[in-house]
Amino acid sequence: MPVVFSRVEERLIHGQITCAWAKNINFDAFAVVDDLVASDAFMIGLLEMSVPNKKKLYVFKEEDACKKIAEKKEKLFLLAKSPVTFSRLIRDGLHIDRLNIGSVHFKPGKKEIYKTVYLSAEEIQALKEILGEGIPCDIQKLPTEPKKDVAELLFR
Amino acid sequence: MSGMIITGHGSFASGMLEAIGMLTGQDARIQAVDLPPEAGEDAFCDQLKACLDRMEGCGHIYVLCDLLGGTPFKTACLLCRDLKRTDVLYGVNLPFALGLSMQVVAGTDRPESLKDLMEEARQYMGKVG
Repeated sequence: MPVVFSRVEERLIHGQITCAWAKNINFDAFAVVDDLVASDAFMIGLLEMSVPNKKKLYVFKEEDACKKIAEKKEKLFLLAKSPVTFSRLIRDGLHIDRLNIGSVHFKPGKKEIYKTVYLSAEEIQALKEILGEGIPCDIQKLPTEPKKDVAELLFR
Repeated sequence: MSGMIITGHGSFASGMLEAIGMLTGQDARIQAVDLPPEAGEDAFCDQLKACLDRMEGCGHIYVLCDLLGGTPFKTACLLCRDLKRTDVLYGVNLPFALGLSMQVVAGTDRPESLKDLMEEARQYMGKVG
């Protein structure tokens, strides 16, 4: 089944996702791709608690996420903390229509490209690769906010 | 002696703390940690941790969160994961926070009676007519 929505979100599943986006997108299950979370039963339990009642949750490690996503029959809302993860999944063969970016937090060495989106050189490169595949990327924290085109921000 | 921390999105926590102060008075055992809109998760986590650390001497700490699954809730769960004698609650309303804060201040709170307090607080939500 297709990935119907893809989002870069440092907080993975949280209030904005469950309250705003979950009601706005037609999907069956969240799919989180994150090595740290996938190997932490407590974190998985925490995310499971956070998922609205009618939705399922899958958590995958990066290395076989693409294969596992392809095996799923449900419509997926895909989440990862970094554009680097998405770049890898796309290289592995994942198809997505566009990439939404929510928040990526500041860490020393990161550059602010837009409000609440701070990227490292590696992450900027990953986004350029994704854009190079013809996949539009935009920053939009909430569905009620306007989209900000990432290509415009990175290539101006 | 117990402590109570309210946490939530935006100024939910300090707002609720202010309301409690207006209704029953302020007390150092009741604290609030806000998550401002543009705040980084690390800074918020540090602040919540500092608040928990300040209450280290308490026999029991109650952490009241605004929303199941939200960042304040998840952070509270992670921080309290290895702490004994803490309870993390979510979806709290003002009647619940008032009820628990009064018990905490009076020294009559008991973790076993949280279920009754929650049941009572649910009854406080309704519609006129």
